[in-house]
Amino acid sequence: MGYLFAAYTIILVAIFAYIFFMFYRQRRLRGEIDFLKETLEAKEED
Amino acid sequence: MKTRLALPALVGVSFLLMFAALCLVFLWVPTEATMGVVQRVLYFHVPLAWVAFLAFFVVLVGSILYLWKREDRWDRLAYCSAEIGVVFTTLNLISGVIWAKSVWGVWWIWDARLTTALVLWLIYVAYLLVRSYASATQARSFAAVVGIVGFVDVPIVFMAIRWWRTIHPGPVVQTGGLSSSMLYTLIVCLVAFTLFYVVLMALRVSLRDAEEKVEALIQETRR
Repeated sequence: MGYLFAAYTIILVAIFAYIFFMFYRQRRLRGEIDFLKETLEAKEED
Repeated sequence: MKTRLALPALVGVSFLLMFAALCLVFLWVPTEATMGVVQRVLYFHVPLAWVAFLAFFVVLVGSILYLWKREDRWDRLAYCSAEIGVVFTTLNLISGVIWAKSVWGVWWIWDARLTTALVLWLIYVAYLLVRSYASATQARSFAAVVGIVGFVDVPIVFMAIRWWRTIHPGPVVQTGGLSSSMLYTLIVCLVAFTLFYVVLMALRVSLRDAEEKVEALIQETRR
């Protein structure tokens, strides 16, 4: 029973961790994109 | 409006189906007589493998189309699918070794199925490494070649238990070795994981889009 529990726990934790990582990285990248766009606009105005 | 609702709806359905699959595995399907409770690992172990094969098939198609048409979207598709395929293969190997320890008493054996599955994992880890560390133009072409040639191992993994004498359990689905309730549970798990793969691909491709946008903007700010 312990082996069964370990296998399913590892699978589900890994999958959710991967999804969480993608959402977290997506949010960070959106912030970076906004920042870079503002930087480019400021550069063009100069 | 439709596109904006489609992905959240797909995510919702995927999670519900996964939850249903877990309920079937732990609450409904009967315990197998020979292996006991640990046999239930099969209901996730097998779909993880089948969907990994699907992911690597998408890598094959994306790689061929990239080398032919030289359009970045095919490379993006192949790269994202390779990453997900490696995740699924890793989990397939981990669930397999846990089952092996329980049933065979050892974590690993250099059996044909296990060895070829490990080789498959190594091939696509190599794909991701080539993609990450070579220069941009080279990386995509080299990785595409790895993605095409590496797919040769997929049918070898699948057929290993038929071609060679192995300690790994033989084919049960095609030979009618599962009772109807077990087969039904396995099919539900397979559908759940396939839908899950589609959701993960949609998320990963969107993330890859954002990564490439950042790279392009950084290049522009340096001009």
